[in-house]
Amino acid sequence: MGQEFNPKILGFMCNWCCYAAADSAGVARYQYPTNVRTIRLMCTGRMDPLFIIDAFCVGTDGVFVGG
Amino acid sequence: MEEFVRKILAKIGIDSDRFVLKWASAAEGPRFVKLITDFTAKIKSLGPLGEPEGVSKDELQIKLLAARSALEKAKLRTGLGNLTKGFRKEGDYSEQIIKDQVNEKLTKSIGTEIDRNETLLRIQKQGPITFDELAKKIGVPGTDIEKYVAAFRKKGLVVETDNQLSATSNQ
Repeated sequence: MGQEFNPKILGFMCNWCCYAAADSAGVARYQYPTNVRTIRLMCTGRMDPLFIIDAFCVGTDGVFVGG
Repeated sequence: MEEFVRKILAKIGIDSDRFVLKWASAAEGPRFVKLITDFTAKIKSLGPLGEPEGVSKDELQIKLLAARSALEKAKLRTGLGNLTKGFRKEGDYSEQIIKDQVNEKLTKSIGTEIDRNETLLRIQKQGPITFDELAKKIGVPGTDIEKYVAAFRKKGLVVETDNQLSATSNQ
């Protein structure tokens, strides 16, 4: 391929915890990889095993759930 | 749920390290950055989905769809729900206990449910197909396939002609 492999990662994040942490990391100007596409949940309790299988179905390489 | 999902991923042949569940509070920006960086590096080292696992895209898609339809049905969902009820009653949420309980109570039904749904999917998509081909592709004994197919035939989902299985048109 020659190109570096850029994985697609889907991130499910809780509005009150990880999503806010991501926000504060941004405000504090920390550098982190841009491979994660975020989906905000109002609570990690909303997570369903089906979401994760669905994510792999549409071709993501990894799923990150952040509570 | 974490252990449950890992079991399913392992069953359909996906490296279960492709899924993580981590905790970071709103005040833990640096921790979040570390978690994301580590996970991205991990996935990068694993490579694209399906490649290190050594399965083709189509095969993986069928397995994923089978897992999907298994998860949509009540059996596994109630299984998981009932298991969590037990943890709440005991008040013990340690990783070891969860692992053991999932292993003991759900592994078998995860296996059969996914195989069952895969059988139906393959008959619908790749039919007409023989028992032997099905057993070989799914990787389970023919007797199991016969059991699943008998149930599908009772429901009128599948018909058998000259040892070939095919799906009925009005599903």
